[in-house]
Amino acid sequence: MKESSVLPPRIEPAYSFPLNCSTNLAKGKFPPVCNRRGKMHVCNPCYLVSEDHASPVLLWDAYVFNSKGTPIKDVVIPDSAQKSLLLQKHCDYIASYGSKKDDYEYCITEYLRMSGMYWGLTVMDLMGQLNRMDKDQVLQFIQQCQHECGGISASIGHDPHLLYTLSAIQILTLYDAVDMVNVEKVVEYVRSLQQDDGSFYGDKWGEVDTRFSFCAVACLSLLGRLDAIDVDTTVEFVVTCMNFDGGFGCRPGSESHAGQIYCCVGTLAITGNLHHINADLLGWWLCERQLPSGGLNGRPEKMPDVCYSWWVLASLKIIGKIHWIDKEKLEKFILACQDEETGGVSDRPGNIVDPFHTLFGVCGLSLLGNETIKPVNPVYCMPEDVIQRAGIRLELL
Amino acid sequence: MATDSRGSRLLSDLNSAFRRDPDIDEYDFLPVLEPKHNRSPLLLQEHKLGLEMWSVRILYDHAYNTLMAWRQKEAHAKFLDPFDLISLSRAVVLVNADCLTAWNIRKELVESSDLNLLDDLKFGALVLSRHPKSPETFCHRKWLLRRYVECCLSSSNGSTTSTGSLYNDFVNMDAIDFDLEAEANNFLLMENNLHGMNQQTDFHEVMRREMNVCRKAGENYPCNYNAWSHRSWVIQNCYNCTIQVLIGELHVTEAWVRQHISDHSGFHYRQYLLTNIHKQADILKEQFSLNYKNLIHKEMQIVVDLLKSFSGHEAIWYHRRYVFQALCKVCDSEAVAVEIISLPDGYDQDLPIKTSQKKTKLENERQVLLLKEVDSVSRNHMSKKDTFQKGLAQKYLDWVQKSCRS
Ligand SMILES: [Zn+2]
Repeated sequence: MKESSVLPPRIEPAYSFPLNCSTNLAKGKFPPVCNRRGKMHVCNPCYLVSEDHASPVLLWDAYVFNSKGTPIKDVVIPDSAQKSLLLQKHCDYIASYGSKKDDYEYCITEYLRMSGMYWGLTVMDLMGQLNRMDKDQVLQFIQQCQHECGGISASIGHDPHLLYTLSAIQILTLYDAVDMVNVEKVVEYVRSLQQDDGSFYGDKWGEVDTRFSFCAVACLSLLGRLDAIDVDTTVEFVVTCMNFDGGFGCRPGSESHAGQIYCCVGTLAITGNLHHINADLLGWWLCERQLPSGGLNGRPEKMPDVCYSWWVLASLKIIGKIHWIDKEKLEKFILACQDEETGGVSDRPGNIVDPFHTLFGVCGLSLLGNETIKPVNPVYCMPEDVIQRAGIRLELL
Repeated sequence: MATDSRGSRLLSDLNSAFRRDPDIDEYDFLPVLEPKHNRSPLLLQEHKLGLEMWSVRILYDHAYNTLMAWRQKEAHAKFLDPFDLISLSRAVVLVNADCLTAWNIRKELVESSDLNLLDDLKFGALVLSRHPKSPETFCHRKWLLRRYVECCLSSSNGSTTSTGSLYNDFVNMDAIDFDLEAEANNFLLMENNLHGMNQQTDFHEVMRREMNVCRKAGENYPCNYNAWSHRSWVIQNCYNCTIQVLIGELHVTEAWVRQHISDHSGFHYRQYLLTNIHKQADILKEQFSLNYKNLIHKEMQIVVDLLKSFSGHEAIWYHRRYVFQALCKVCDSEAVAVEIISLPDGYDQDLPIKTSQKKTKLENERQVLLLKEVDSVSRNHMSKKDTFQKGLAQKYLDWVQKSCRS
């Protein structure tokens, strides 16, 4: 692809836009990039919006230096990096993930089990092998996680929360089995968490965050029950979280963050309110997230991370600016994050894989047009055919 | 599930460590992968707690399974009294700070007065020393702080002071040289001499500690989104965005951002402060004879200084975007204000003409500001050899020309 075709429209012919400081960098010395795979390190795949996962000290391993020696936070992709997609390996990795139940990692991640299952099942469906998972066991588990109040928890005996309620409804939609839970009570639970200003609590304890607005709206729309909440104030609240740079944060006045942007853009897309977005300004901020390695970060001066290939790319897709980033380089970055022995995808080349980054890596490749993966819906992060079957039609920009 | 008897022994070791030293302020897991001697794997020294790595999993399994069995009301579950619940949930979140249910159990214990709210704030600070960005830990703190503020406000309601008095106590302070920490200490001394004012004293002390917790978390983990967004939450929800506090915070974070030039969250926090100061520009002028425009100019000076000294930092350039667009807005509002003042009576009929003239004038002012900015950045950054810094400067110029035209 010729470079000019991926550039956004220029305002002044003399100026070159966001991308590509790459040609200028990285000609100097590199510190050796150490392979961190195999070191003892429990990856903590965070829930809906991910922060980065490696220790701040380790980040220095991967600093790239420009010709003057200023560190640029990025990674170097070795020539030996994997260049083709290892779909079958990833399927095997996910299929065997839940079988190691004595694993400390499995035990310590129980607090987000429902989301973990959603990641695994969705990526299996996108790769065409959902039938390898134990459907009955999954559905029974979800039933056991619904509480008296209607909300659904991450695991049996844990407390209900909007994050896990959405994950559960996503899984049930995947299996076309929402009737396995008491839908009326789910709707009532979500409705009960909306506040007068349109915002949503994550659970009864009262934390407010635009992530929860997305959870509420996505969940109800999958159930065909958006009418249960006040959509106008929901939108108003999300719009008050918009910043001067076109991005969104967790609350009004909060810093723009790629994960929060995805949630806010998604909320506006589902409710048919994308006109509130300044697509040029937001698109600009989003495509400035691409680093010389091709990977995307979630905020300025952060390391690239595969999960941001999803938050950023999906947001760009929704606002119709996906052509503003260098797709080939991003594809190369994601492919380099695969583990060719164990299967699975990690946050950065050489790190330990987990189901969270495996899903978002595969979703990213799907949005980039890889035809061996099912098309993914950029708003719901679910297979497009599932969203069609649920009767949902969204207008994107 | 086979219960490992070592689990309950480790838990009582942990409990006795906290009994011996209620002021533990940091903890970590020591890289000892197998039991090597017959001693306890818990080490306590100068308020620092160390747990040998091998014991962490055993402790966690025991605490987590016992607590969750109780929560699920399983038939074989043990009866647990509040003390057990406090110690089990403590062990769980020390290892896994994002276990929402364990934090919720602690909220219930606070509600039933079995757990002291301020003690739990202190414990949360300890958890953040090892998990500086844990979202559930910050979430729990917000809940505790909301409850605390409500409690302070409702009791001050009953006294002669009004509801807003806690916020307004800051009014007497010297705004310009306001250093939140030092001033809060002076304030404490002053307050302690007054009879019956302990509640206010506590309030400010609690908030001072909260700011410290945020600062430490921001230092332990760069670009700590949760820590900085928590800090702005405190400013809004516990201080009601009182202008004295905003100015004080602007003052204390200047040195911080100068030392953390890659930290966009730190810069953004200043943006948050400036935006909220702007909303109260009138009060700023009346009470402190400070001009918002001067604050923005001063911020631009900080940016210019930093860009001169440190090359290749996107965060500083992003901050400049904010500062410059804020400057443009000030420029617009001043131009409008001048128009309104100079518009004599009886000119209403000519309004369409006036409006278009006004618009042209606005555009001109903007244009001048923009030209100056482009010129200054070009002169200082576009002629250097440093290609990366040049690239960032170029992106900045593109952005302001697109976004700040008018
Ligand atoms: Zn990630």
